[in-house]
Amino acid sequence: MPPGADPAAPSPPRHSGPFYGWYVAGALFFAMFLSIGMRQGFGIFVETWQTEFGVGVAAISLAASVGWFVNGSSQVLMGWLIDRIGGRIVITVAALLLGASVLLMAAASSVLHLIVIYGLVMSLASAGLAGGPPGAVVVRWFRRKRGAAMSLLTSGGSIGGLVLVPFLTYLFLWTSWRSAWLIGGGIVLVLGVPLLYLVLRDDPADVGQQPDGARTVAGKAPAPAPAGPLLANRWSEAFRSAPMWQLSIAYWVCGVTTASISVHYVRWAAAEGITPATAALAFGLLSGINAVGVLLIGPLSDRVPRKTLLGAVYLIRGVAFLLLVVLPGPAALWGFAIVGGASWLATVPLTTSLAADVYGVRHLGTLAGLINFAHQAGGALAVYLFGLVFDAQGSYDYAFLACVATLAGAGLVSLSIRERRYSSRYAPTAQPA
Amino acid sequence: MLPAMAILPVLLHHSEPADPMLLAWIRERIDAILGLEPATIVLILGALIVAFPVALGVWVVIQRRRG
Repeated sequence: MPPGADPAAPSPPRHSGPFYGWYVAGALFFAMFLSIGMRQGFGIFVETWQTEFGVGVAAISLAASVGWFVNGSSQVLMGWLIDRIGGRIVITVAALLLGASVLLMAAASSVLHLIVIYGLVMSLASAGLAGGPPGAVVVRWFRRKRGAAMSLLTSGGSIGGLVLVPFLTYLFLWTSWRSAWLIGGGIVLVLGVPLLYLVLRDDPADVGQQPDGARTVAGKAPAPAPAGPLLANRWSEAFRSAPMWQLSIAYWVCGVTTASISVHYVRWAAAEGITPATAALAFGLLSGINAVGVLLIGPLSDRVPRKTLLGAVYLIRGVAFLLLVVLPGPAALWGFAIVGGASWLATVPLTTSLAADVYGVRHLGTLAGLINFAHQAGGALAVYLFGLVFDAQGSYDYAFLACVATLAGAGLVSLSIRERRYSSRYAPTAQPA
Repeated sequence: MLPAMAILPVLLHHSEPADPMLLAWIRERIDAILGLEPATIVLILGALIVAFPVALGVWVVIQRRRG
């Protein structure tokens, strides 16, 4: 028995079989799958709503814009709640809220309904299921394989887009848009909520295990968690050190470059004279490479310094944007799909894992939420500025060059993080008491 | 020709709505390549969506009972 332990205290239930952390990561993979898939599915119905509600694209876009803002800002709140009361409750309630809001979408009959249901409720719920907050739960279960677990979690978002968006599309074609949302809500409530409540646990000790499934020696206390010199006892302490700013600034650039190209992709392709079929295929290639890339980058980052990979990812994305400027239309498109695809989502597992390594897991929900807020703020600004540049120049070249410059900066900022000094991965292992 | 799954959308970095026009282009490509009825695609994808959480949930319950 560990020194100081209460001999009368009940021991936590022990779990046999594979390390339980992988089940937690699997359940959160599904949470991210549902959250991102359902929110992306909004785009399927825009044309139908225009006709049915008698409004323009701008009115419906307002709901999307509100959703963008609410989702980005409420990730901080969701992360803070996870830090305070635990991921199991927060994430299960968020899934319940997501399911209810997806069901309610079936009853929408005006743009105001879309703003309230999608823009406010669904986007708030989604903030607890995708992005930083679920990562704050996963990192408690893993130290040595933190990157791999974060990759698995993040790939839920990729695969949610790959599977749920076409599922809703063809469900809509087969039945009606209201039925598509109704069935989507049923999937969240019947499959997602029970799974999360059943599987999620906040800490390895809840099932009598240690991070990574490390074994304890009978009669000895578990080895204390290695901690770096910047371990945060309060979330605000992180902002007094360089890595928090370095990660946030780089992630802001990530938001700038991903949101801008995503929103302006169709307009750029049309301006370059690229056919819809080619644009669709190239985007599919980017998506496929992205899905593979995000699964590979995390495990790789468990073997080499994460900042090196993070810096490389930003620099590679910078090359992809440069290709958009220097190559002619179709060649630029394919070049961007191949080079850019490799870097698209790879920043997510690297940034969250590195933040956990440096600041510890106690306040990671809040910190990851704040870093994600920087990402969303950068994205919102860039989408607007890209539109201004195109309207003024008739071309995206200057905007793409600005992306190249900011990505080069993000790459250098990431590479300058003093990971060996601050990360718990390189801290001397504490001896058990 | 790309495999069918590779031409489906993963549009944005996080979870913003997918571009309706791009979705329409992608749907045209899927239809051109696969030529399946919407109901068939729904059933195939629906089976995939149901399979993962059910399998994970059942596996966790079995492991707990053994433990």
